[in-house]
Amino acid sequence: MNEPGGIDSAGGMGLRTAVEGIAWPAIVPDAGAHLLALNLQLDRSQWWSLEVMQQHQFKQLRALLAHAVATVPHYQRDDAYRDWLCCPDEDARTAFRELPLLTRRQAQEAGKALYASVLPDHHGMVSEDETSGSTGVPLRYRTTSVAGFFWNAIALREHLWHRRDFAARHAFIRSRDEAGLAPTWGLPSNLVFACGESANLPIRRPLSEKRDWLLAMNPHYLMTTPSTLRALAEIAFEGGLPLPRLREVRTVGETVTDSLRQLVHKAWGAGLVDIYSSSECGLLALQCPQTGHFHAQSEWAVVEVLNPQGKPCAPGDVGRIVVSPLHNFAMPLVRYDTGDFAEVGEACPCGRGLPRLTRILGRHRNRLFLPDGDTSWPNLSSLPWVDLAPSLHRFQLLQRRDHSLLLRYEAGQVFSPDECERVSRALLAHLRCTLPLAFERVQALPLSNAGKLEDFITEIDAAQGTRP
Amino acid sequence: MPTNPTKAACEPEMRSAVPGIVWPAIGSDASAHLQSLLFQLGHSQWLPAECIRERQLDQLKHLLRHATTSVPHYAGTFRGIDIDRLDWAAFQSLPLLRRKELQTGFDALKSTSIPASHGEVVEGRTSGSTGTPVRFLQTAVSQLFWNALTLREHLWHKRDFSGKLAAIRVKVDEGRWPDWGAPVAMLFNTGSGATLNVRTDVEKQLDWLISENPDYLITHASNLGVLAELTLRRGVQLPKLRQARTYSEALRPDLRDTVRKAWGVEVADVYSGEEAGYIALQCPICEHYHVQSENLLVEILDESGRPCEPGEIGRVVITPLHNFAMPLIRYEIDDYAEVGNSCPCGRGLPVLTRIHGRRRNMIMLPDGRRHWPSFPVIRYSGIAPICQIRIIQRTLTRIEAIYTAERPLSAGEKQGMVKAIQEALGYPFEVDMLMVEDIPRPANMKIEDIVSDVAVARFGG
Repeated sequence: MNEPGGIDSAGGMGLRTAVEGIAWPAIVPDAGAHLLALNLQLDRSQWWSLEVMQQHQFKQLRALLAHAVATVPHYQRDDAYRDWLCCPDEDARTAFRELPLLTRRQAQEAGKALYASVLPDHHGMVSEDETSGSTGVPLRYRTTSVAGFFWNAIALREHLWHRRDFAARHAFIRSRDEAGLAPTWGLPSNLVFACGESANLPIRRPLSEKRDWLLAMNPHYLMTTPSTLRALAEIAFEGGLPLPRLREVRTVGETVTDSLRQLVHKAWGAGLVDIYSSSECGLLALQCPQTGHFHAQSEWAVVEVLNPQGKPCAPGDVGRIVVSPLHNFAMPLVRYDTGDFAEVGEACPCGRGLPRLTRILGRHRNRLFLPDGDTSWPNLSSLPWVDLAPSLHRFQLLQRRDHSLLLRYEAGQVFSPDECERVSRALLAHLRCTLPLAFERVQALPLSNAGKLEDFITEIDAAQGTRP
Repeated sequence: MPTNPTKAACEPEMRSAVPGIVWPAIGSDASAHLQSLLFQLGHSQWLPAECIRERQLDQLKHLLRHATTSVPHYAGTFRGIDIDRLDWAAFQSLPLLRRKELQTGFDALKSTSIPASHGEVVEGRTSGSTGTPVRFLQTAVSQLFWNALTLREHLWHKRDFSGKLAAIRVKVDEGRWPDWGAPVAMLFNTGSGATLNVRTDVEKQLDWLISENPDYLITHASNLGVLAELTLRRGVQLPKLRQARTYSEALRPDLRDTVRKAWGVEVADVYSGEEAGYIALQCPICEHYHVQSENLLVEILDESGRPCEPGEIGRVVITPLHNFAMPLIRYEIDDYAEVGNSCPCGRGLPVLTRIHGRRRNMIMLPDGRRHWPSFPVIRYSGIAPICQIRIIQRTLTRIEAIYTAERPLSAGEKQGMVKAIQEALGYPFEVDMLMVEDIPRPANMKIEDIVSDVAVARFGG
């Protein structure tokens, strides 16, 4: 049975056509044709072996680095990059792993030294922006139209993998300022498909407004951050937010936990599809349509997961995500340490050769460090907060540099001693530690510019925190 | 067992129009449109047959709306049809368009209002095998679909574009080229190409092939047969050849064996028509054909107009879906084909087991049976020193066999030839053997070994 969705959306006749009377196959407008053209290549490459994929990656990496050593001061200062360009193909992979890592702090300090002084023809406009993630420390970055094109192509791939019905209504609750209805889903879908409507609401609106708005919109798809989604799903679980048409929820921007996936399914009977991306690095991994794990987008970036010794992690191990986007000639990032961590997976049963990440665990700053050197990524949202502290609205657990913990919270009233006792016991048991824990009620917890709220943050840096 | 099996193709290297972007490639706008179509074709080929039919019907309605409002011929003959409610039964009740109507009704079949977005309109001519020209119009959109399906055919057969392509065809001069030409070279980096005109003496053709030593050879089916037979006689080789691709004429089943014996390679055939574009491509894993349903509707009809069932042979009637300059709706092209069952490859594109050929090549037997026999060299090479032979059915019971030979035949040799011809044609025809100096090739270079005046007289063509 051919299920609708993806390229067969709206019976396969939902593609935009630029030529009168040519409905199927469609002759889409130029911009859409380029997106489909790239997806034609992605359709083939996703099934390649790792070796074939790496051969192609390194071909592109050579082109990127040749440009970088010619035009980017940061890469001109270190002969290692020029030397890599001279090494034979058979040594390229090993030599690549010897190239220095570029941390976020180094990128911040390098500033304009990471900008290319000149761009090749046809890379389009250069745009500049900044991202602070959740740290509040900004990183200014540049991208090109070509990089934006690849973003759109991978985003389209994500839609096609998950066989979205482009004729449906899609709701977005995210960081943009404008609210309202739009006639299409926006980029990239509207370049290729005759889309249904999208509904947009800024993420900073109060929860009650989000709820009422969703009830009115009654969408087929919803995209928002995991923390916002959790709050909405909890309302829905209690019966306060029925969304009978909802087929799927999409998330971006924060780590997704298994408990959230389960909650969404219980609340609406819908699946959850996550995307791993960053503003400065692009779309880095998409959720597998078959297994729910992640596939690194190797056609866009070299994605490495490294252990503390800087070596590639084996399946089952957790390591740092280090990326080298291959097509951003305005600000090449070679072996850029994202600050995120992931668990490497075995080859995926779906058959795709794209490297598999079983979990995206979050950033270094979301990691709990114990005095004995043990670490973990706390999944605090899985605790029964409603029972522990009924007046709680939201919280954020902060680990200080001396390892002690501070629970900041928004609530209708200050926790009673009993509530503090219950929360303390449950929290420390969950974290498997006996660290000192203090409480602080606040008016409003700080959100990032992107509207993200992380429920755990550590002030301990990597050098201090990890086991010797 | 082939001695030069088709190698698994390397991943083709795409051309990029953006400096520094090597992979994945960002092609030109023209390349992007071809790839965009290929992307859609890559998915549509696997749709179930009924889904393909549904999409065809939708596109057909667009075509019919245009045709009934802007083409005088259809404005008249299709008056009153409710296109919005059109179903397959209603479509199949529309009148057929015969070749003679296209020959005489050019102006009435032209659209008076071709949408500008369909691009440049080009006039083409095909004489087919009768010598009577057919004029037709096509648009840039038709050409786009042609190019996309040409690429599809290459990709289905996993050709290694880094290899060398030799093409022996009409309308080309002898030459060497840096690449495979459009449309392949629009998308991919390729090896070199070489061309030769098919009118070149066949001995010289073979010498040329040995010199060029290609990986792939494209030529007319009959020409390929002649080259393969000559190769066997001369005992030479084409050591790099991986596959031969044929077009333009019905492929004799024995030709594949001859090519395997000569060069150890397989044949990939295409079924196309100049007025129609690609009609069917050989399946990548079987020797039968897949109708190119994204490009056109194909009906195989018996003499009463009923759609044929698998195993039955019928008339080929086509409706190209995207030609808004001169829509050809239910156009009978004088070919016969056999309907096949669904393919083990899994594609939902309909199957034609065999393209039998033109009506004029159909031998009619006195008992009413009809077939398209072949008479390859192997049937007579041990009987008589025949160089070339052409069999013409003059009446229901009489055959004239025109031949060239190294010397006059003995009585025994003639008798042997008569018997071989009767066996090949499946009936004890009265056979007149007539030796001539030369059997010239027709203008379109399509060699017809067997022609039936009886079929032509009865059905035209």
